[in-house]
Amino acid sequence: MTDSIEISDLTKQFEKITAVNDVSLDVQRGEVFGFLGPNAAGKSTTVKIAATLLEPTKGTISVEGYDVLEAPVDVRSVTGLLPEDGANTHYDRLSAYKNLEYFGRLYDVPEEKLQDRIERLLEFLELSDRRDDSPATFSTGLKQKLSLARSMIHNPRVVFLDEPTSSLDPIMSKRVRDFIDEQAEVGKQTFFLCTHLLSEVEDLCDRVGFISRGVLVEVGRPKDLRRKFWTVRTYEVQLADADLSKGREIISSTGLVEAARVEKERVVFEVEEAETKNPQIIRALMESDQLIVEFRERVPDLEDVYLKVIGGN
Amino acid sequence: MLKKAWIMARTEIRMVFKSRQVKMIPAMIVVMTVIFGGLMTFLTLSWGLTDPVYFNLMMASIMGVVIIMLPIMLPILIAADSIVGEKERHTLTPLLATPLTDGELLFGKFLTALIPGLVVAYSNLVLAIAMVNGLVLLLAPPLFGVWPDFLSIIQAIILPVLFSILAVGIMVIISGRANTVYEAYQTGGVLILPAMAFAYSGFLGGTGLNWLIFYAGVLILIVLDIILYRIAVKLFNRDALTSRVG
Repeated sequence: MTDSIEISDLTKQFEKITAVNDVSLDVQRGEVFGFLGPNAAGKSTTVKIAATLLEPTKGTISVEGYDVLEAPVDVRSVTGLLPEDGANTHYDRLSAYKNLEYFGRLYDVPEEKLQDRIERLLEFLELSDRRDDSPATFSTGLKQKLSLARSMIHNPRVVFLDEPTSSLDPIMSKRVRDFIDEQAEVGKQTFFLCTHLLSEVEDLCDRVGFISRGVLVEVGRPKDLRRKFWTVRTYEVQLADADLSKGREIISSTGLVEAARVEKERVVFEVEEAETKNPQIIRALMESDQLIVEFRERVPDLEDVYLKVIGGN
Repeated sequence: MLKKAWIMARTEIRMVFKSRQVKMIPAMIVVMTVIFGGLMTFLTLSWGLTDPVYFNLMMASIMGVVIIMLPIMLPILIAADSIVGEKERHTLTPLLATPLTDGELLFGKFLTALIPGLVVAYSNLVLAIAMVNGLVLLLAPPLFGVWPDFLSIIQAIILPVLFSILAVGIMVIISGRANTVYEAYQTGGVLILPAMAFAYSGFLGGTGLNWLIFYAGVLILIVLDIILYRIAVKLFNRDALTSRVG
């Protein structure tokens, strides 16, 4: 895959505050990249620089081969942006349809395609029946949907979405996630997603980056990050025998585990190098005539990883 | 450049005229034209100032206010609303993210502010000609058709364009630094209107209203307009605008 977004040594300073500090990162074409971090971590500033709204103090970003400083107009024509607080960025004096039409024209969408594209986006985002209404009469969720439609109106190669599903109901959030997934897969569009919703990132993103106080702390696939931060893994075993303390004793007596306890009708144990030790633990249980009903890993979710990475910073 | 700027201007003009404040200004200008222009014409004729040259000069100065000074209020307000208003309403960020160049964006803003002002100025010109000559017919029929003479018509066509560009240029520069529409409008009004009055009186300063003064004045205005537009483009800074948007 080719790089769609290349961020090199990016630094942005606002007077004495360093919002982004020496960030380097590549996002591949068709990838859905999640950018995570607490408030004021530098996520939105990075997106604004990539969308050519802000100039970097040092370093640069190139989008689809166009440098943000040398070819800003080209960058803007291949990118779509759903800004932070996107729900409040509409022209209230125009209808929803006219808002999209206006931006479609500014993005050079051919007239013969524009109407069709607007109709499809309005339909997909369930806004068709409100097409002639002013966004001023919309709920925050509806406004957010309109922002999403606006960012996609010209079918951009790269889409920067700052909190795209904030204020959307769970069903619409799911539809938007599916839409992003499909666009990335079929349309080969690159998505750069800033969000606080870790479940969203877990579902959607091929890779994630954690940023804290302007510094990029970690980048990787959610699965790899979990592995990296959880060397001690947790497993739970459901046994046919009602006396679970016996099972816990057998597991502890192997001397292979860090800890073992009984929790909600299961024996829970923590182990390092699970790949080599788990077969021995299972064998010990079976040799003691313990019937294993279920054996599974307690996978830490991305929120655990996030708290560990960002908390450590 | 023209296409994108025109798309912007067309849509923005439609939007600004949905603002009650902007809608009121043309109505106010027409009312002031009728009251002020009508009263001054009536007084001029009642006082017996009926020498054609003097009458023409008197009308030129009155109409300078009516056709140039009053309509300039509209581009000043629209420029403030269109630039600072976008910041206030948070609509500037998505607009800045489109592939508009700085030149296209500013040219679009210029057109948005200029066109309504010029429509009002030229409508006012027609209204003023009809009103003045109507009063002349009633009070001093021999002066019918004396005003406007050819030079006054050319002035009334060209000067609103050049003065408006000047006013909008100043407003673009002010708007980039102002935080509210009110602040921009107020600063613009304080700076622009006296400057315009001074410049227009300079046109009349030669009193003869001769072509040489007119040509020189127009040339100076054109040069000023170009310089101001260039300065506005140069000072336009997405970074500063977006940083303030937050």
